[in-house]
Amino acid sequence: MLCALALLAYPLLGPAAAAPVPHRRPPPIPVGVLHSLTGSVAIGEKPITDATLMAIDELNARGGVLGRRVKPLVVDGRSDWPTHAAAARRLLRRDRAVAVFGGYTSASRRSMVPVFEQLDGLLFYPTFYEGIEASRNVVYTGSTPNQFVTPAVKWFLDNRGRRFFLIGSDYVYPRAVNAVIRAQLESIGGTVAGEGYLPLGERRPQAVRKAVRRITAARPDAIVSTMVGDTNLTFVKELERAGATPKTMPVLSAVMGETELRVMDARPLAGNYVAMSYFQSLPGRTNRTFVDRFKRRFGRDSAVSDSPEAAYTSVLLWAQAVERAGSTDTDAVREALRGASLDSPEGTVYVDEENLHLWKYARLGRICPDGQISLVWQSETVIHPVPYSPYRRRQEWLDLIRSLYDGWGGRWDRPPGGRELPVATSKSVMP
Amino acid sequence: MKYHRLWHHWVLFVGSAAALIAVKSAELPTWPACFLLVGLSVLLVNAGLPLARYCVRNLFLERNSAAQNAVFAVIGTVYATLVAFAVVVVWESYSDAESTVAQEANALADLERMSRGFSVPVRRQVQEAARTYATLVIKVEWQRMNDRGPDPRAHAALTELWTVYTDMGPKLKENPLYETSVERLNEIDDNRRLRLLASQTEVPAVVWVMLYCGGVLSVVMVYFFGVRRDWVQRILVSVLAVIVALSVFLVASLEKPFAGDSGIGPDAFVSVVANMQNLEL
Repeated sequence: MLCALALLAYPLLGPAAAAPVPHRRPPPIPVGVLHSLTGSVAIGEKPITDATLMAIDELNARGGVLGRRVKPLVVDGRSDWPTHAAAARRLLRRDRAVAVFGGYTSASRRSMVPVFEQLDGLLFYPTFYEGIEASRNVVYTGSTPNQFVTPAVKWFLDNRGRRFFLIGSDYVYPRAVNAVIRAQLESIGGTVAGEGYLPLGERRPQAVRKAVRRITAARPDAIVSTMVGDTNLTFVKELERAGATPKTMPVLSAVMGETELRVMDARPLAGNYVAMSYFQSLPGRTNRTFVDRFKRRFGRDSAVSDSPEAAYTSVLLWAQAVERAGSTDTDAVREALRGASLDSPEGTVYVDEENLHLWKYARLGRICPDGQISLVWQSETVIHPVPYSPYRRRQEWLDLIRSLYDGWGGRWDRPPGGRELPVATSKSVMP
Repeated sequence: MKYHRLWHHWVLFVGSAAALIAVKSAELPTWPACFLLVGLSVLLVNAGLPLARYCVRNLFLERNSAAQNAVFAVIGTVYATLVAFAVVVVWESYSDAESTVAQEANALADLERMSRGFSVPVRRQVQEAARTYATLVIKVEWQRMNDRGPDPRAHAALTELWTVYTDMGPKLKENPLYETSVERLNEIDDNRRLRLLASQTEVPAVVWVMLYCGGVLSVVMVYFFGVRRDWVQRILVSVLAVIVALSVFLVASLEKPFAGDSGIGPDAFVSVVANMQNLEL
């Protein structure tokens, strides 16, 4: 009887019951990923993009954020700063990106910040940098100078000697960082044996040899290098030719990481030092699993360094803040970020309530012949981010940056064929 | 005393006992907690009275009244001593914690004031680190130190203050204020450690057991007073319950010097931050 009733009722109820319940998936959350995939700095930025996308994929695998998928909008900054600014504007205006993970060079960041401030967007900048900036529209997940260079210089002062030679590529980051180091040394009893700059991307042995000659003549106890890219390799080879070794005249790099070392022959650089907040070789389960996942995804030869790790942390911090705020609104997310903490591969990091930079550890490592960096020293605690170094007034730092920008004819690096600007203090022994 | 519907009293007795435990373990504001603790104690002892008197009848009690009075006097005296001891101990620890906080905040204020005798970069560093430390203590550490321990960032800010002084060049260390500043820094460090230690202090479990057992015994002794009037006995037992509940409440609220409404607040640090001088950034 029941079967008969069921059969009779089926034509009426069956199709309705069998029809799929209309299920609308919530729209994905668009976020921008703005790094250079082509051009001169692409080699350094590729792993940052990789780490960002890996973090986004991991978020989506766990169900997304607020129950919505996160949709990365990958844009090529083409190693060109106006392109970065234009792309940021497009991401915020046209694509409605609720946050942008991007920027590598200080020049790219400085070009993008006005756009984010104007359109009230949120930029997560993952690179260690010179400071002298604190925008309410930027979350700085890289280190400020007091979180990597300053403690490393102090370590050298305690363990190697008092005389330092400051050498860098001629753009805003090395200039500003060296001004901080110079002021620090004056305060803690060290001396600057000299300061010099080579044009960005300088590879001509004769130009590098000239700089090396000046360094060896000054006989410093250590060299602080803020040179980027291949210049480092030429530089170290020239140093070796001049008879300087890591034991007699160690180089402390405030730029290089495992990513750069992977693409060059690291053997000549072995024995020299690197100041950063993160090294791939750090112990700890969180870091080991992060590195394993990265290598599984991008190949055994891939390497993670400070900025890719910070980029990965940026995405997780953003997701945590969105979940906490219950919204992707810029103001709500920014407020949720203040004081937030995260157990990241480099250790627990905290977002500063006032300046939106991260509290993180300072670390000093030694370059190994295989391109890895082994930990030599680590700060006792996380360090408070101080974007404006206390050695000068805020306005004085801003004036320094402005004078560099104007001196280079409205750009953030020395123009090709341009003259070397004088260093930031009259006490410099450089011509 | 009437003994019909005894199960009503059982339900009331068990219910009020459970509610008392819930109130004790919940983190309620001071006055509601006090009111509930006293009210539920009175309810509990009044619900327990018919149950006790059902077991031991009045005639028997009247016959043994003299001996019972003597025992009650002993128990009462011992219990009063125990309560006094517990209250003195927690009160001393509370006032010690209060003075530790004041000393820590004073040392921080001194340090900041003395930094004005150093060069501007040193002054700026000290002021920045001192302000960061005080702000983190007020906003973060005060809330978390009772249950989650010290705040790593407050510790980091204090380490930063140390770094400013230990990293000074030989010339700066010759400043006459250097030694006094380091002394103050040591004071901050020592008092911070004491404050964190005080935030974790608790009345030993054995003292709590004695307090509860003493209170219960005292009430039970009053249950068995040979009193003819029902209401007189209820008043007696209620008054005793109020006294015991208030004593327990007093010890409990002073046990953790930084917890709850009656806990010590970060006012000393707030005042230090308010008086810190702002150097041009």
